[in-house]
Amino acid sequence: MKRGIGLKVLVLCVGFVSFLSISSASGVEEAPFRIDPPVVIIGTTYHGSAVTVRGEVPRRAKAVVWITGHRQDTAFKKKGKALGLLWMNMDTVVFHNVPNLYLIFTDSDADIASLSMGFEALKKEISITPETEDRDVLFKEFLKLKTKEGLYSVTKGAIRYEQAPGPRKPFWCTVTLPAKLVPGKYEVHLAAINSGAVVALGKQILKAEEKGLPNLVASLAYRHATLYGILATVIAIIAGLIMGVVFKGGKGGH
Amino acid sequence: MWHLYLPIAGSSVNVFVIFAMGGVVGLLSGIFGVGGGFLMTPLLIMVGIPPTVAAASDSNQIVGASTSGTLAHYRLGNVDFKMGILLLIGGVAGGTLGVQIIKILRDLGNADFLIKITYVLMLGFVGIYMFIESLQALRKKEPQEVAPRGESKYSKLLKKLPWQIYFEKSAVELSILMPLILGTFVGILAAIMGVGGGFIMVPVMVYLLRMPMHVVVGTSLFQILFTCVNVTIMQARTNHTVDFILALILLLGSTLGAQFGAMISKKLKGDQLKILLASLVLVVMVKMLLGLLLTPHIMLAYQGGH
Repeated sequence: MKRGIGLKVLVLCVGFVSFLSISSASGVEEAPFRIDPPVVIIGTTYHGSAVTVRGEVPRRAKAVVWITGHRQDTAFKKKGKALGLLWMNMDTVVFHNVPNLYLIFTDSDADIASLSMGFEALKKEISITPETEDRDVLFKEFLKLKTKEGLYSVTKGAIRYEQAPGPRKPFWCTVTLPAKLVPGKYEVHLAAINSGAVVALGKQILKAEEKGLPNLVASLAYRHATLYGILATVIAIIAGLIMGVVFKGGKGGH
Repeated sequence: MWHLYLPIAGSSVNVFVIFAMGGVVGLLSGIFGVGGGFLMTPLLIMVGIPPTVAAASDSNQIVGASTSGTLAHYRLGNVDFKMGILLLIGGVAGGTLGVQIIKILRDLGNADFLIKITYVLMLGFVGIYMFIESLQALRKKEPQEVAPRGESKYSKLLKKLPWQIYFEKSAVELSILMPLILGTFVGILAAIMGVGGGFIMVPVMVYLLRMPMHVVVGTSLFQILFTCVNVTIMQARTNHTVDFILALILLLGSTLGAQFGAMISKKLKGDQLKILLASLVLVVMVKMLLGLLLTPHIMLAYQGGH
């Protein structure tokens, strides 16, 4: 028993020393940055939103900013022809480990390749079941769907640098969040790349919260569905009666 | 600017676009004296509202639109309550069944397909029928005498059915099975298509239930009001697809549009306008049909009606 504990302590010590030596050898430092605003409000007039990321990277490095949401399994239907004529949803395919948001802002493809990021890297992280399906074709369609919704994108030339003296250069980047953004927490990452190597890394949390009328409507509709249905009809009846009085008995479209 | 976030649809819409759509449909409704529900849902789908949300929210809008209409006809004494309640019982049963059909198909991922194909069939049928009828009316300058015919097979069948009762207001004797069955049919369509069913119910009342025209519209509105109340509550409870903010904007637009439509209709020739409406209905139908026939741009869709 004592021997077992001793072995575990030894392994932990070796691991910790190895971690320290790799970190210092790779020379990856903390990349400071801030997000403005840190909380995105999905309110009544929300139609997508812009968030500014500002920070500093070593003078010779380039910045890459990326935002990802939580990962989940997502089921899709493949389109197929019914009776050889009409297109309809057919077989189910499940994509595993799918981030609900995947936005990258960079200067060049080379920078994101050195981070093992981008759509090709994402393809390796996502598995598809049943495995008999053609991965390449399905992933291409998956990307079309996600990019159309504005949930996935790689934006090049998005980083702007400012002239400043000293060993670090300030940068800023405008991140456009899509109208289909789901409330929740998102990770905002910053990496500084120098000659294909990562020299600094940073991470912050961006929150998206439903507020006001959308929050009220969504919470009523999903948590008190019957009450919401009754309220929706009562409001419509009252609105109809008011319209009837205002326009003195319109016949009403049906 | 002027965008409104719809949490049920999961996207934002331009308020003026939705208001204008309600206005245009209301305008057509006012000009032609027909309901606009069958045009509203396809238009909502075209601006990117998911079909299941479009159909359910349109039902909610119809609750408001038919409330004022029913009240106006009730004041004029044009509502056959006995017939209306029987149609309503069928409508509630049909509506409940329709919502369950949508739920099952939504889980399977094919609710949107059913809504679209039902629209293609119904719009095609109504559009072609209206087009031919108004074309014939334009050609016939003088009314032709109709030769008296003997009792049809349909009339004989109606008399053979059990549980015959007399409907005083409509002055017809019918089996209670007729309004129950027809009400169920319209209720199913109301749930699937998000329509009140007036464009089906009115011909059903005139041709199949043999009701006089002055009672038909009021009774149809009465039945539609309660069918859509049921469908709205059921859709909200079962499928979470009712967006009442969307419904209210549509209602406001359609009510205003209907007032202008009623004014315009007094100044224009009916049959020519009917052809225009039939053409519009057919254009919407062709647009939806092409969506089913042409190869989709994206070969994947979210399962469960996203």
